[in-house]
Amino acid sequence: MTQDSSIKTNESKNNAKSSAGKFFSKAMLHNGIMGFKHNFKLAVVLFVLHMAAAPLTISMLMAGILTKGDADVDGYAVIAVLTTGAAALAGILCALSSMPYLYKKSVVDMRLSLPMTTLQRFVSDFVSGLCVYVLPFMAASVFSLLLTLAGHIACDGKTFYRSYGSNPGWECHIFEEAAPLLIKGIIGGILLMIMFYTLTLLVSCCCGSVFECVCYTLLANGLIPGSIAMAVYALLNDIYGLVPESYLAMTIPYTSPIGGCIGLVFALQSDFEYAATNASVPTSITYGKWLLIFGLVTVIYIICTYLIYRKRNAEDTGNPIVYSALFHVIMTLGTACIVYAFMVENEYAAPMVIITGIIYFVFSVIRRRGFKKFWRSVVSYICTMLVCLGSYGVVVATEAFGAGSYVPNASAVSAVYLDYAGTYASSLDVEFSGFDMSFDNVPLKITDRDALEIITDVHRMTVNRNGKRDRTSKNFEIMYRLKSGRLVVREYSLTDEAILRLSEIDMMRETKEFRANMVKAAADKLYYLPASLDVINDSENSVTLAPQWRIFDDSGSRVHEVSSIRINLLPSDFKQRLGESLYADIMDETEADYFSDPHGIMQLTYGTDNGRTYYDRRTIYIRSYYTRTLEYLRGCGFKTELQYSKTFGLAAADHANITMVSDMIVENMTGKEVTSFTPLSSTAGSFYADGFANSFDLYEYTRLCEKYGLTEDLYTVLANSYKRYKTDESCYTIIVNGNAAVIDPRYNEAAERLFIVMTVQQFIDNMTNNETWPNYGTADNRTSRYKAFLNSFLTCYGREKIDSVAAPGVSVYDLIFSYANGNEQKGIGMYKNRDILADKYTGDFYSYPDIGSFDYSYGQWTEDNTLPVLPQQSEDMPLAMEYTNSNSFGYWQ
Amino acid sequence: MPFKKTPEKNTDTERERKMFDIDLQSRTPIYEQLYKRVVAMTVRRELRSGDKLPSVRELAKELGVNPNTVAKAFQMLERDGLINTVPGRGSFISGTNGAAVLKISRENFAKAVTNAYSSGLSEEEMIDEVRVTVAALKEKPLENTDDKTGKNINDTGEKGDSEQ
Amino acid sequence: MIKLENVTKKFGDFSALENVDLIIPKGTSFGLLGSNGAGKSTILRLLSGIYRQTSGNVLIDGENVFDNTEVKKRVFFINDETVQFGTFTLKGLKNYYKGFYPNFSEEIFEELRNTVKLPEDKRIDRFSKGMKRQSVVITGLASGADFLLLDEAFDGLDPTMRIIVKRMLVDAMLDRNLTTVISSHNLKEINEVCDSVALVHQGKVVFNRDLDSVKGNIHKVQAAFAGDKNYEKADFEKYGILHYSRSQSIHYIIMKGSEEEIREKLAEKDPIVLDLIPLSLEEIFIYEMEGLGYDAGQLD
Repeated sequence: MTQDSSIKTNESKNNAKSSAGKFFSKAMLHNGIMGFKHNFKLAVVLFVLHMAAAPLTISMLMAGILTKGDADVDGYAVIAVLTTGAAALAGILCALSSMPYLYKKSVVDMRLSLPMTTLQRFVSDFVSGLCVYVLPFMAASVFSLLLTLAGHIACDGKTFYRSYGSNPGWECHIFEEAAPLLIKGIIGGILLMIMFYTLTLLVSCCCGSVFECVCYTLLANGLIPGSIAMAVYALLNDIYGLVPESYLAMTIPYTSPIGGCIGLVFALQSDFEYAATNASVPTSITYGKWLLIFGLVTVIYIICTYLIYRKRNAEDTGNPIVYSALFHVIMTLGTACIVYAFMVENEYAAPMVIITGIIYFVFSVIRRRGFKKFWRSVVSYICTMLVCLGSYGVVVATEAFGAGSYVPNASAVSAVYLDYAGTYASSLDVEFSGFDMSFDNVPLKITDRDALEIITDVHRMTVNRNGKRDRTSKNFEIMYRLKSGRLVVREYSLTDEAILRLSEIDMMRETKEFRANMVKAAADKLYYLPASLDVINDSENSVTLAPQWRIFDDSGSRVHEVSSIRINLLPSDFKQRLGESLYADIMDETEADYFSDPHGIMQLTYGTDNGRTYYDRRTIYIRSYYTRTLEYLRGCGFKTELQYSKTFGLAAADHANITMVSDMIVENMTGKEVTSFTPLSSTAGSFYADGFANSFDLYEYTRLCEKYGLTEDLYTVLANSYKRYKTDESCYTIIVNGNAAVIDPRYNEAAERLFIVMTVQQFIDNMTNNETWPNYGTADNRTSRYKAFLNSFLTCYGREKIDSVAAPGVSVYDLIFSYANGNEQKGIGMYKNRDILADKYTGDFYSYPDIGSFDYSYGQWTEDNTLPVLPQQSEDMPLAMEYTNSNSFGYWQ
Repeated sequence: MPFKKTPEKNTDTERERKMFDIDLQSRTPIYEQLYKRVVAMTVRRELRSGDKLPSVRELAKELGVNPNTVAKAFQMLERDGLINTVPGRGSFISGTNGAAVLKISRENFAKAVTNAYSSGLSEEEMIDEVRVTVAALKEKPLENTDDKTGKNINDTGEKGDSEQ
Repeated sequence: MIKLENVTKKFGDFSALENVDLIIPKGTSFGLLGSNGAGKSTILRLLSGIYRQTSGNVLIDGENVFDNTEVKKRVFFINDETVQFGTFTLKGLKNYYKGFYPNFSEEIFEELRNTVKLPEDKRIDRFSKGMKRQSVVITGLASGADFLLLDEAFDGLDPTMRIIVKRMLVDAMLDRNLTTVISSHNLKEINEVCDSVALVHQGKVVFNRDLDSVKGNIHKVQAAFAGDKNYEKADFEKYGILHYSRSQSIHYIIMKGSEEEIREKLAEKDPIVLDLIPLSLEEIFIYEMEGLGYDAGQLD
């Protein structure tokens, strides 16, 4: 007897130990394998779908390249997307079939009476369903990788010729470039699938019937990213300075399968882009970071799923919704989306309430499978609406809890990232043009304490201004990385005052370094040596050094001097040495240099120089104080002497599109004084100050040289204009081919004369070109706008001065009046042969912006409105020079 | 413990079924019915001393009843001395079953007397009946005599009823 | 031994079981009797570890059943579902359960399958209802479990299968002390097979008795007394009676106790006629319920 009982106690001890401590059991493994076998057919179907995606596409790509020299697989890519999409959605099927006892009452007894603990059952069912979902993808991926390897061996490094057309050969690097992306994509894809699968189970643990499981899973997948996006846009829309995209970037890519797809795509893209430069932009999504955080969120979802699963009781199966929290969360998110959408669009409240009400009640009725306890739905709907509206109100009222006016302390900042290269470099066209710098275009990173002080000061100035975001003006983005690790992203349009303050960092080391690095990177991309030299075409593959001012005669031949060297004759380290010299020169730049006379600019260009059509035109601008670079270029055989003369300059100006802006006019029209020219301020950028109705469109181009006898003035003005200029005085701005420069105020007289001429001529040009400008509006509209402008014009300059710049015998004033009163007469103007001029206008024209409604209270005419006397027109006016593409000319590029 | 199926013993199944005819729907508990049946069969000499009863298992299976019930009946029979159970071999009708059987016989007799009395038989008539029956039995003994002793197995020497 | 200690099971606000105490000794066959929705299936599901009790202990051999793999390996629930096996074949079912129950016997499974001539490669959802029931029972019997829980299990079984099942149960009870818990609202079935029976009504165990003692311990008494003794129901109340009716001189009384006890008790009243008749199980239950204050009609 005693023996028996002692055996018994030992047995029960072991049992207790084993059931407490044992995690893995054979039953678990058996359950998992049985589950997988049960769904084997589904797994096979998924495998076929996955094989029809990447493996098929890669095979077809290989086949195409090897047989036709062509890498077009668009059709297969479409198929790939469709089949992958279908296979991805099948995650719901796999998840639901792995745990049927959640929604199918008939299998509850059978599955839950099996000898497994809740944890064991969860793990084995979870893993078995996941295997059905993911293993086919992994198997197909093995094929993809093997095929890529085969493609690499067969195609990479070889030159192929397309079987159709006369396209030149191309060298294949597709497979070796695609391989790392493919691997990363596969790993990311597996993670996405796990998240989708988990989310399905998470939702299904809260539901007890198939319809609810599927429906709420789909809703959750859409609403998680959707409501984040709607909330961010709606709540932060009106808060000045906050950048919704930065909040989206922090949340959407990591929290849902759809968001994860977007995140993965961006991550692969940014890895691809930044791989070369090893740069990091704080808000960009890098692959490693995405993988880690997304993986973490997935693990959290899995844990949450288990916690809910554990709470589930066998008797819950069959109830449409087991945990009403799910219903309320989904409904609140959905309602919030609609509410926020209405808030953004500022629609009326009634449709919003009706739409949300209908949706809410439909779902409630479905959930309750009828109309019982309907009043409860009413109550919870009211609560939901209050939550949505309340949250909106709270966020807006507190300005996103103070985020709107938050300016970090300079001492708390570890680095600031700015989309900025210096006040006068609104784009990097100052240093080079024609390059695709997107891969290298990381923002400027500032860590210098003094610079940080300036930047936070600028920020503070802007925040205190408390204006709304102006979507049309250029927005300035500031990105702080605080010492605490937190990222703060803001976007503002800066006042001129702020810009002035900001410009104090232009000559600081980090800013210069940034510019210098950009130029160096551009130098490295100046050209690529193709693998086989017999594809090099002589004129296309040369590097040319020329003065920036390029003149071509009517036949298209160059009349200025250049020196050109074929790229295969350049030293092998030419680009590198060039880059290094440019870098050193820019770093040595002083403030005096920075604001110096731009006459000495040359340009180093790769590409055809025929003046007509261009491809691959990449240009780096060499300034007269880049001593090292000029020396190196000389050493390589380039001629670096400039040819610039007055004739040369004027001849060039003859072919340019030149317009002018007067600060004084602008000031008069709007009351807003502009005293310095900066590309970031709204005035200079758009030539309007605060709105369109009160200004005159000066985007017309004009050939100033055709104007009578003001070539001296033009030359003076051109010679004394600066792209980078600081002044407190009122001054004129001259725009040559779209590039603006400030005229030294000492020459305001000459500028004034030119401006008056130009303005009057443009009036006349506009009037005579009615047919070409149908967008210009009705006669009444034109008349009133002209009247308004002329009123200011006259007030500013006075009738006498205006008349004094006109041609002899022409009363400009009278002319203007006749047009302003609606008497449009062709052939009348300050020049002869106006029609010839009209016909020769070719090329790009700007269209009129939408000017909105006009304020009729602006001006009054009191003068006499009689028709003027027309001058005689002679026949021997010079023909206009041909206008070519604006990029071909330019004094200031 | 692995489940093992015991092979069916080739007993006289026909006979058993008839013998152990239990009414499953009867108001009398099954074990009681079984007990009484065994006693009745012993009294009627359908079961003799040394006869082996079917095992609990076989009986339960044959009758389609709970083996605990059968076991209970066997326990009662054993308790009252009607059978002997030898572990591993089975249950046998006991040779010394006299006391229990006599008790039951006495009870049966008393019942019979009661019935007769209620239906109107007088005491003398009843005694006459006893005498007549016993005389007939003495003349023509029952078949199941014990060869060794020559005695009737049921003869324990007690005069019992005949002296009533 | 199976023990339910003060077990309550609620589904939301509804109490399916309330303060249930039950002990089922090993090696016995226990019947759960009651109308539909009384709570019988709930008890079985608690014992299988499908449900978790709201309060109290559900113990098998001293250990709580829920989430206990070692205990559950020894328990098999033969339920009354016909849809659950879906696309399984009998062969598949055998392999399925073989992996979960360490004492699963393929021989028994095959033997039983062959005896009732069920095909091994046909999908179970294409079987007739009876065949489906047989499949569950076969699996349960072959599982090697020490505790078999049968939910209305004998319904839908033909007589042949019924006998086979009973014989298997006999062997198992004797060889390895199998304990069975059978729920039914069929008295006949319980009468044949069970040692003890509990009546479950509206979530409570109304009574729990050894069947034999139930039958032996309650009798229908037909008594007549001397003409001058005009007894009424009240005269008999002190004996603990369940039912009383009178037809002229014959008193019909349902009384608890063995024959001797009843005769002893009534002897003092000096009856002229005293007949004791055992009751059928059905009658016993009806009178017991009445005695407890339940309307007998509620049994069905």
